[in-house]
Parts: sequence; structure tokens; C-alpha cells
Amino acid sequence: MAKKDFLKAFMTDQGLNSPHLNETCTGSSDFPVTETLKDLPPVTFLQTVSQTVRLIEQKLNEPVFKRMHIYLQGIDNNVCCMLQALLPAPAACPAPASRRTLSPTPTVGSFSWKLERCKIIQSYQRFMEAVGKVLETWGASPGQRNRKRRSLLNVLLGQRRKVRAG
Amino acid sequence: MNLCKMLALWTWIVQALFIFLTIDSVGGGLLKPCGHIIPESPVVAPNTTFTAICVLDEECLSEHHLNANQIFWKIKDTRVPKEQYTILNRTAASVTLEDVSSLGSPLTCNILLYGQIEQNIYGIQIRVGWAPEKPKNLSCIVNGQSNMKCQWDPGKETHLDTTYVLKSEWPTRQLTDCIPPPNVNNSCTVDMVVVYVNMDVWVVATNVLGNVSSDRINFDPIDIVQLLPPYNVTVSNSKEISSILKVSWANPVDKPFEGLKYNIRYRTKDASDWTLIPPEDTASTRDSFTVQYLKPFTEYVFSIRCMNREGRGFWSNWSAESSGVTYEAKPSNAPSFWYEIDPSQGHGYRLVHLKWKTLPRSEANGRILDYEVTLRGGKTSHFSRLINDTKMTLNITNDPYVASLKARNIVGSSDPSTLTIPGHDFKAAHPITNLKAFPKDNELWVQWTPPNEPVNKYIVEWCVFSDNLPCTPDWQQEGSATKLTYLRDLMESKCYLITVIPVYDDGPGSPQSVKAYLKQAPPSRGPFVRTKKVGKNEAVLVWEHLPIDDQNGFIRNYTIFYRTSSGNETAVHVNSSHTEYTLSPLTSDTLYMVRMAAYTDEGGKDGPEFTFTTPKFAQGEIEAIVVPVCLAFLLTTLLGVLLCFNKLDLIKKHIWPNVPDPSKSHIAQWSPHTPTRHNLHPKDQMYPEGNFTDTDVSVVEIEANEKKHLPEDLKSLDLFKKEKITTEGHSSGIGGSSCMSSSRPSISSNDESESGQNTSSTVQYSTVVHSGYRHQVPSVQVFSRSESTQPLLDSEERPEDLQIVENGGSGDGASPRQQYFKQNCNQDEISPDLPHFERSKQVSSVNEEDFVRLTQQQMSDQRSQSSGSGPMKDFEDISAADNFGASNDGQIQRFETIGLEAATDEGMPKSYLPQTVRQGGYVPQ
Repeated sequence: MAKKDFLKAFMTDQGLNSPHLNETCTGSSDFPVTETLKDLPPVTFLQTVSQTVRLIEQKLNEPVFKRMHIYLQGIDNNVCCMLQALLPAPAACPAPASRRTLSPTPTVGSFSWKLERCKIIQSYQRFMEAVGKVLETWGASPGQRNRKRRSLLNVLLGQRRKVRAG
Repeated sequence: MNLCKMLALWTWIVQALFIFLTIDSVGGGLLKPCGHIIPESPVVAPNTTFTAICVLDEECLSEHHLNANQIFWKIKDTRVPKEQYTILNRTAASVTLEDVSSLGSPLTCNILLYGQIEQNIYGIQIRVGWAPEKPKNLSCIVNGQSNMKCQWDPGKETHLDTTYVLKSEWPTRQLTDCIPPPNVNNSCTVDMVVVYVNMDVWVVATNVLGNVSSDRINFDPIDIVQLLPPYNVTVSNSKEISSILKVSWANPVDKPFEGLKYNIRYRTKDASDWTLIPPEDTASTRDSFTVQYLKPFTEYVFSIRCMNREGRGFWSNWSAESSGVTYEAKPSNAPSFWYEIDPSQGHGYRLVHLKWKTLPRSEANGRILDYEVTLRGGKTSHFSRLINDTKMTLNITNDPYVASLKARNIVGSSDPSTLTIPGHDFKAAHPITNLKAFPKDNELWVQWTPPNEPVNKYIVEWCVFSDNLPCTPDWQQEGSATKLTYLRDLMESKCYLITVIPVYDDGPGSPQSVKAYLKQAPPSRGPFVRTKKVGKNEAVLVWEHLPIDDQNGFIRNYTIFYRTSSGNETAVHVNSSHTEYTLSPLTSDTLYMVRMAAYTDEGGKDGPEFTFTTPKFAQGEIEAIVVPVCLAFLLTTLLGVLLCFNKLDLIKKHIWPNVPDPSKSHIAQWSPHTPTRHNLHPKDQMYPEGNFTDTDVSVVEIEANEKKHLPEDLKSLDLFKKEKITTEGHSSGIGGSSCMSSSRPSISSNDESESGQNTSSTVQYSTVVHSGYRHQVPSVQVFSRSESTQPLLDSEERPEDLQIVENGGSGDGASPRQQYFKQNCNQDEISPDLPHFERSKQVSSVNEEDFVRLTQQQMSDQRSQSSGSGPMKDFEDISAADNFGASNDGQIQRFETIGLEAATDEGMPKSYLPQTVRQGGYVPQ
């Protein structure tokens, strides 16, 4: 059964379907790992997730990532909703961070651009995998029965599964 | 389209009006109108008030000396009533319309130039429409993982350009609007959706009259996913197990979740109802499923659908159908088996025709390769044969036999079907009872009561019962427990003869039969009715039963319709068993039209119309009238005859007077001094005044057609003339004259007269007859020859005289009349003299009959004369004649009257003896 995920789709689209390139894409990640995330308080955790997602969104701003973009926005939306359940409304959903100045990006379509984007996507999926693991440790509570929170978990788990499948 | 046309028309109107009432722009040469309407392009909702203002241009006002009072409004060509106008100021006037939707457009502002010339200033096109209704019933569905389609009910048509936008948002973000494609106002497809993120969706409808939003719906797209159906569905069977089929498929790829569940349905190829595999057996993700408990060698069709295993979302559509056939198994039933005996074979043998039915597919469980027939009994203890056909004929002895049959396919043989063929002397018995056949649910059902004896099976035979076709039976076998079955492949409107035969261990039982229809119909035609007997007030109608092929059902009754040509139709219902009916009461002497209809349970059919007429009289009625009448007539006749016999003499005297026998006549003595019969004076001498007096002449006129009536008389006349000729120069006696006198007395007289005219001789024996015949009064007085026995005068015997008579009497020979002048008749005076001719016409009223009667009378008188009593009588008459002669200067009319009176008075015929003429008459001698 075919399983769609962003990394595989990107690799396929960009002609990077080779085992050694997969290894090339695999590299150090700037995003927090599971060990980091699991020790964070829930609000901080959620805010970290939100900020990371927005950062990835900024990095993947080319049109080819339009579909991934909307997924990221959905995750950010769900995180925001969870924060609203934990914090007063104004502070719940922080305004999008000002676009940080990113390092100069290679020309779109160039091999270096492909490798860079490949690394970002893989880092994103690792990060989401870590988020999923943390969320799975959250025990069931009346708040978790909240539909928005469940949706968030599902989104995160869904993305994680896709990452695993890829 | 109408809007476009109206706009084009308005453009043309505006352009045209600009030509008439515009102001030249001094600079650029452009033209501008003398005013305008506010608003320029209004859109008005129905049932709302609309106000338009026409503002006149100042320059135009001054140039044409106009003001707002002169403004009037028109909608199309209809002027708006002034009551709806409002003069706002010197240059502007408004109009208020209550309901523009019923008025239409364009709305024009016009002005009356110089008080009489209508000029258009400006016009606007009013658009009428509704604000959008609030969209309702918004729903969305996610197709796989790619897109989401939302649908809604836009409400009533707005008749305006209305846009619909599908809006969506997350709690933190407004999502991109979805714009429906052109001409779509009730759905929109969102390209990318994100599952597990709740979103709000709503529709906004907007037009110039406003906008409205639908209710919002909030959902997680994962809950409204409808996947594509499974694909590549295949079906395979198993040789080991003939009752299973394995269904395989591929799951949809584009899906936002992993877990799936399925619905698998199947049916046989010819069936329409699906069987669903229990959902709990297919509630997990898979790509194949094995279906059990299927029929062998049967084709099944499969279809599958899937959805989220958790039950969220929608079932996919059903996949394309795929079919497979289960493997064969041995036949599950023995074939139906029966036989017929042809006993015509001699020498202790007989032909047995074994026959059997092919197994239905559901029982054959495969392709039947052949049948195995086994026969036991008789001299051949065992006989076995494989045959592909479904019948076999064997020549067997009269001994009892047992036959068995097996059907074989590639897997194995069926159970045997056994049949006992009894011996030649077998007597069938134990029939079934209460056999009934009836249609139900488009099938013909047969029901019976089983016999008390144990039955192995039943054979049901049937055939079309027809007058024209032989009964070719079809048959079917039923089990021993069967009491009710139905027959297959029957035709409607056909009569079937159904026979049920119970089959026992020792052979078949007695058959029982019944007739039935699968479906009745009205008869193909109606009965031919005719009359057997028609009476004055009744008619016996007869007809024949319809042939079975025309009945199309059981004839339940007949209806006779009869009517007169002008009367209402009367219907009479007759039982179907009858073939004769008496119509009564009927009207005599009347034409009746009768037809007859035969009815089955499904309707009737009229037969041809038959007409008959009732007689005016009943049978024997005419005889009852005629016979008495005839008897009465006969009786009357007999009485008359008897009376005649009794009064024969009297009758004879009146009808057949005695005719004197000429042979007994004898010539009397003639006086040599016989005076001249006529005084043949010249005309002027006899009739000094030129008149022809009555006493001078007597005329007998004979119509020409009398010849026809009495040809013998005329013939006699000719003979008489000839005789006259032949006797010329002789002094003929009275006997010769008497022979002719019976029919020609007047002729003789006339001859005498003519001869008298020519020769001036006298006739001494003429007789004047006054009386009519048989009491009939002659119209004129005639002279006739006497039956005297005196010899004729020479002059009378002259043939030339006769010739003269003919010429003179008729004028010419072609005249149809004969005139005879007795006295003083001058040839010169008779023919040309019209009064004489007219006179002769008057005399002609003495017809031929009178003539003949006169002759008879004379003959009778002759007899009287001979008897001796006549002369005295004659003398009396002569005296009367003398009186006539004495008064011969009287009128003709008078003469006739007297003559008639004389005849009437005397009452009987008279004859005269020869006499001498005195003054033109005859004087007795």
C-alpha cells in the first residue's frame, strides 16, 4: 500500500530517489529532539512545536511545498487551539514570529537547493516524530477528550506515520 | 436574451433621441442630452417602490424655454399618470413607481415641446431581481485525500448576477475562498484539505441587492472522507471445493488513514438481488475474501466498497462488478423420467418410448455429458445404455419392466430415477381426486388431493386443447409429497387440458384431467346469430357455440342485443349453455337488428349483426281471413248459380233473347205500289232554310274502334257489302237481308238511305227502332232494317249505293266513323256540311254495343212479329213515327227527346213491319 509523505514525495519529484542520497539528506537537525521536548511543560512544549512549525514553514516557502505548507499551518492551528485551552486567549497563539533572516538559499531547483530542502523536510519529520512520542505520554484527561486536542494528536501521529512509512 | 434586446433597443432609442434633443458642444462638436435620469442603472427588487428623477439641463431649458412642468414619464410606450409625478424644482421632476416588476422598462423622461411635440430626454433600463436567499443544506465531502467538495441549496433564482463563495477557516486562520466555476451556484471543490484540523465552512451569496451567508458548519475533514472504491476486482474458483469463490481487489491509494473496512456483495448472474457478506467478516483492511456456500457450476457477480475502518466518513461507491463461476459437482437430482406405450406391436411385443427432462442448471451442477438408461425385466434381465438424447424407444415384451435413469457430468452421476413399466394386462387405478387448475401470479397452478395409496411421484401432462391441433402433451414430474404445482411456459388465451397421473410402485394410476386457462381474454369473435323462426311478435334466435380456438377463455354467458332501426337497444343475457333464445315481445312488421356477444371472465366480443323483419300477420292469420272470404264468395257464387237455374227463363229472356231462325222466314207479299221510300228532294227543297231537320234523317254512327271490339260485326259488314255487290242487279229477298240483319241493320238502312239519295228510290221495308237494348235508352233514334220477309228493293241492292254510303258516311275512307242516313240524305249535303257532321257525332253516342243489342232486339222483335202479336204493336209505333214525321219541322233535339221518351215509355223493344214512307218516314203497308 502506497503511503504518501512529504519527504518521499519531494525525493521522487526532485529525482533524489537513491539510497546514498537518502543518507545525504540525513544529517544533524536544528530542531528539538524527543529528549528535549519530553521535559518541557505542556505550554512550553506546545509553544515550541508552534515555533518550530512556523520556522519550517518559513524555510519551505517555495511553491513546490504548497501542500506541505498547508499541513504545517494545520498543525500550528491545532497547537494554537490547545494553547488556548491552557492559556488566556491573547497569549495562547503567539503572533507569527518575524521572519528571521535565513542564510542565503541556493537557486531553486539546483542540486544544493534540493539537498537543503531535503534536509529540512527530514528534520521536520524527525521533529514531528518526537512530538508524537511526547504526546503519546500525555495521559488521558477530560481535556484530552477535547476534539481539538485529539485532532492535534491525530495530525501529529498521522504525520509521524507518514514519516515512518517514508 | 430579453434583457440584451431591451438594452439594444434602448441604445438605439437613446441614440435617436439624442439627434432630436441635444445640445451642441461648441468646442468638440460632441452632443449631449438635454437632461438625465437619476439613478442611471437602477436595480429594483419586486414589490418595492422606485423613484426616478429627471433633471433637465439648464442650457436646454433656456434654449427651448422648458421647465420641469413639461416633463412626462413613459414606461415603454405607456405614459405614467401625472399623479405619480412630483415637480422638485424648475429643472427636475420625479416619478414614483409602486411596482416596477409589473411595468417593465425602459423608463423614459420626455418633454412636450411647444405644447404638442413629444421629445424624449433620457431613458434608463430598470433591472428587477431579488437579493440572494440564504444558502441552505450546506454539506461537504472529502474525496480521498485530495480535495473536498461542498454543496448547498442556493434558494430561488435572483434574476441578477449573483456570486457564491465557499469560505472556510481554521480557528486561527482564514483559508482561501473557493469560487465555483461559471454557471455553478450550488457547489464548489476545495483543492487541498487538511485532515485532523477542524474547520468552519460557509457560503456567502452576493448580488447588487445585498449579500447573505449560510449557516456555518464545523468539521474535521477526516470525518467526511469518501474514498475511491477498490479496484482490480477479480474472482477465482477452486477445483477442490465447488462451493467457494475467492474475490481479490486493490485498495484505494489516496487516503488519509490506514484502516479500512469493506462491504462485499454478490449475486448469481441472472438474479437481481444482492447478498451481502456479513460486515463483521470484512471489518479489517484486506485485499481478498473467500465466499463459501455457493452453488456449484454457478456464475456469481461480486462488487466491493470500502471506508474508514473507524466508521468515520462515507462508504466509497461500489466497485466495478466482477464475476466468476464455481466449479462443477455431480448432479444433485435425478432427471424427471416418464414413458409412453405404443401397443400396436404384435407378437407379444410393444414399443415403449422412454423420455426424460434435462436437469436444470441448478441441479445438473455442471455440463451433463450423457444419460445412463438401465432396463430390467422380461427376457432381457438387464440392459444398460449411455445416450446423449433425452428420449429412447425400446421394443419390449408384454412383461413388466423397471427402467432407471442417471445423468452424468464430469464429476459424477446423479442418483437413479426409477420407473416401473407394468405388464400388458395392467389395469390402472387409484386416481387422484379434486383436481383443480387455476391461474395465480401469472402461473397456472394445479392442485389435487393425493390418493390413499402411497405414491412414488406424480406426472403432470398438459396440451393445448384445440379444434384444429392435435393434443401434443408436455409433461413434468412432481414429487410424492406434492399437492400443488404450477406449469411452465404456457401461453395466454389458450385452453389447456391438464392431466395428473399418480405413479405407484407397480405402475401408473388412473389419469384425471381438467381444462384451464393461464389467462383468459375476450373471445376472438362473437357468435353468428340467426333466426330460426320469425313470428309476428317473437323471433327464435339460434347460434352455435364458438370454436374452442376462438373462445380464449371459458364462455360464461351470452348477451343478445336487439333493436329496431329507430329504437333503443335492448340487451338480454343468456346462459352460456344455450344455443337458442326466443325474443319476445316484438313489434309486427318491423325490421330488427340483432347481434350477440360472448363473454369470458375478461370481457366479451360482439358477433356480426343480423337483421330480420317480423311479419305483419302471424302464421295462419292470413288463412283465417282468406278462407272465410273465399268460402263466402263460393257460397255466394253457388247461390247465384242456383238462382240462375231457378230463374233461367227469365234470365235467358233478358240476356239471351231468341234469335229468329232465318231459315224459317218467308217472303211476304209486296205491294207493287210501294211508294217511294224517300222523298229525295234536293237539299234546298227539303231544307229550304238550309237546315237538316230531325225528322228527315236518322244517323247511326259507329266508332272506328268498334271494329276492334267487334271484329266479327265489321267482318260481317264487309261480307254484307260484298254480298251487296254480288247481288247487284238482282231483286234480293228479305231473306238475304235478314241473314245480315242481325249485325248490320243500320248499314242496310244506310245503304238504303244512300241509295235513296242517289237514285231517289224508296224503301218499303225499313224499320224505325226507338227503344234501347235491354231497357237501355238509345241516345238517338235509329233506323234499322226490318226483319220483314218482304223482298228488297232494287235500289237497296245496288252496290253503287253501298259504295256511296261508305263514301258519304265517312266523308273519305280514312274517317273512323261511319254515318248512315236513313231519309232524305243527300250525298252532297252530308259530307261537306258541318252541321250534318256534328249531328252525326251526336248520333255516334250509340255505341257498338247498342248496335249489337239493337240487332238482337230486332231479331227478337222479328220473333214477336212472327208470333202474330207484333204487327199490332208495330202499327202503334208507326203511328208514333208518323207523329214524328208530322212534326218534322221541329228541332233535332226535340226529335231525339221524343224518340227517347217513346222508347222509355214503351219499355220494350219494338219492330216494325214494312211500311210506306210518309214525308221522309216510312208508312206501313
